[in-house]
Amino acid sequence: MNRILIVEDEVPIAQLIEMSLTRAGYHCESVNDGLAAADRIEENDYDLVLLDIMLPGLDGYELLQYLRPMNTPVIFITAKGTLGERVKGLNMGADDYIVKPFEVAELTARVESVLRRSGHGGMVFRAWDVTVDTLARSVTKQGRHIQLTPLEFDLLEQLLRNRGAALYRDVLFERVWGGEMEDGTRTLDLHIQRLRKKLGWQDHIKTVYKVGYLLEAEAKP
Amino acid sequence: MKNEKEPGRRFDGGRCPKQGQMTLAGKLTLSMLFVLALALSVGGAVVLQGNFDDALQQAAAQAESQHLLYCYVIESDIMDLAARGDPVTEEYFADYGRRLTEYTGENPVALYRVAAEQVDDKAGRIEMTVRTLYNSFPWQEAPSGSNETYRIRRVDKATYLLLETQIRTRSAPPILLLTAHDVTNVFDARGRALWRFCEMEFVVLVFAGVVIALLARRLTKPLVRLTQASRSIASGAYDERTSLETNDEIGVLSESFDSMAQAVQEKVDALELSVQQREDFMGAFTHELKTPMTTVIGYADTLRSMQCEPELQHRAAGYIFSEAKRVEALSENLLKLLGLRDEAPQLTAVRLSELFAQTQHSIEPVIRPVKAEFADAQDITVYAERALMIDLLYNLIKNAATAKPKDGCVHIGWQKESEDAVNIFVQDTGIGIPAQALQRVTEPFYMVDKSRARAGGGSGMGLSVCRRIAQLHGSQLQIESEEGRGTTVTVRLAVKKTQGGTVQ
Repeated sequence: MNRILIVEDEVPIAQLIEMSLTRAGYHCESVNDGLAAADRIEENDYDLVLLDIMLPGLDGYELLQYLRPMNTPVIFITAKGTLGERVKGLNMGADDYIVKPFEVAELTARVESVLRRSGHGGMVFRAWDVTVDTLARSVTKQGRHIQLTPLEFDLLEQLLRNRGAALYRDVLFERVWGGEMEDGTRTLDLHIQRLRKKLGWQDHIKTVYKVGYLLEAEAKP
Repeated sequence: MKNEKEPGRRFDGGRCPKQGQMTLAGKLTLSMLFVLALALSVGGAVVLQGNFDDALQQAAAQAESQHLLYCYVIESDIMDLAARGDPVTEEYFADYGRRLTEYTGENPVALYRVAAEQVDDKAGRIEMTVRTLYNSFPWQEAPSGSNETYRIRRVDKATYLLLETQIRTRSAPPILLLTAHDVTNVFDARGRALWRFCEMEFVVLVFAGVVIALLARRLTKPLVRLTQASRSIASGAYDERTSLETNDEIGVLSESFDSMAQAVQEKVDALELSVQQREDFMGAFTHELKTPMTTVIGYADTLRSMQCEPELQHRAAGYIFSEAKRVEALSENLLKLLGLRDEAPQLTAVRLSELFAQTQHSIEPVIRPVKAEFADAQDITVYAERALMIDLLYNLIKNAATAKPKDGCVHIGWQKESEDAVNIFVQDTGIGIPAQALQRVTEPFYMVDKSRARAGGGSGMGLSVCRRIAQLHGSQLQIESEEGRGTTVTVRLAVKKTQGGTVQ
């Protein structure tokens, strides 16, 4: 499991990021000022650091200088969205730049892509007897390869990243297909049917009345 | 690439002497040399010509006396012959000519016998018919018929002065004596003098040229300095000055150039400062707007995408609510600040007690459980814009209340500063402001303790608004604070004077 450090002085935003990334399957820690962040970085090894620029104590640029020799990938999260600021951040060696306000899906996508680039990515999900490799985009069931279309795979990934939560149909559609759901209901339902059939998850992917779909969390033994 | 080229081109334009053009020093040198050469030449020519004229005159006088001597000899010989009764023959003259030639050496001599004379009426000249008695001229020479002055004749490289005289005697026909006198040395001397003069002039001009060029460069050096200074100012070094100290027009020019550069620098600095301020403001504003937006959008996104646990739902909704309130407060304060930027308000006479009462009415429910204690305003009347002044007091009291006053109370009071002014203060016994933050608290969006200010719904703009309102009332916002002891904010207002103890 990838360890991510979140350095953000706004508590609600830090909680939001932590919650979203934890749900997506990462192990997160968060600190609220630059000096505490420097201490944590010294003590632990992180696969990725999400860094706000305007911080009390040490600011994001200073922390980045401190982080550079450790080769830990860094994503800036900041309200300073001007081109000059972006270029400055990237030139200093940040791996990516997320401008506030951002959407949760964008955040997880960027985190995933930076981790993949740095070789730490490629999360592998296991659910019952199914193994899903997000890097190779391959699915195996009891060691046997299962062929999925790209859209089916994206849908499965969304379900896996939000396991145990009932996902609303329109948002699910928007995230997988992109755009507004108008006559997409049938498409979504059809793909869910196919996933259930291919993976043998007739019981595990649940239909939630008036909400959408839910992938059951595995009962811990 | 374009940007890099731009200043370069401008730089070239500023370079003073282009190829093929002359510097001012060069022009000065050349024109002074021209004047010098002209003066030397004219003066030299006049002097040389005068010398030459004198020398020629002298030579001519000498030649003339010699010529007259020959004439005299001929005349006396004729008279001797006549006295002796001998005939005056033509052979005698030829013989005399030969003897004369032997005597004069290289100077040729000619003797003629005048056969007939005829006066030409029109020209006044005498036409003569002559017969040559003797001629030793190696070149063709004929008498001119005038015996008043000499003639100059150039033959090859030699120059001769010709004199002729008619000798009239009673015993012989008129005889014409033509003698030539060598004056080559006079002309040669003139040529030599001219040459010497040219050499001298050349040397003088070269020497003067060097000296003038050095002087001209020295004189135009300040111009080079001015050019350099203006060029570096043009390329952005606004602190460049010429500071030339000469007492002439260039000194004056340098002085006014420097004051111009000073004005430009001040203007540019002011512009840069205002740009910087605007950028700082925009940066802070963006941050203050985007931070709550991130929370709102993020939690709303979570809520709309899945069914979450009730506890998370509640927390998310709470964040969305408080952050949206924060944006609302921000926009309100911002609009207020923008609105206060332009027009000065109409100040009217307001009773201080009314201001206090109205402020108390609106602030009390907001700061509860902290209390606001207003001093007795007696019968003081101040000049103020009522709504703005209430707003200012409201903001100051709200700030003071968030500082957690130890006695649970914010004190609002007044103090006479002079006959014309009263100081109104808002005092608390709270946590105070750190010394290093005191300077910055009135900057827009500045917050001493972000999380605490946020919790109180602060936008970091309250004191900016207060300062602006104070300024519109012709006062500064005086903030005195000691950490842990409390803060006092004072604003000065003009007082309406009382007459005979009654309020007007």
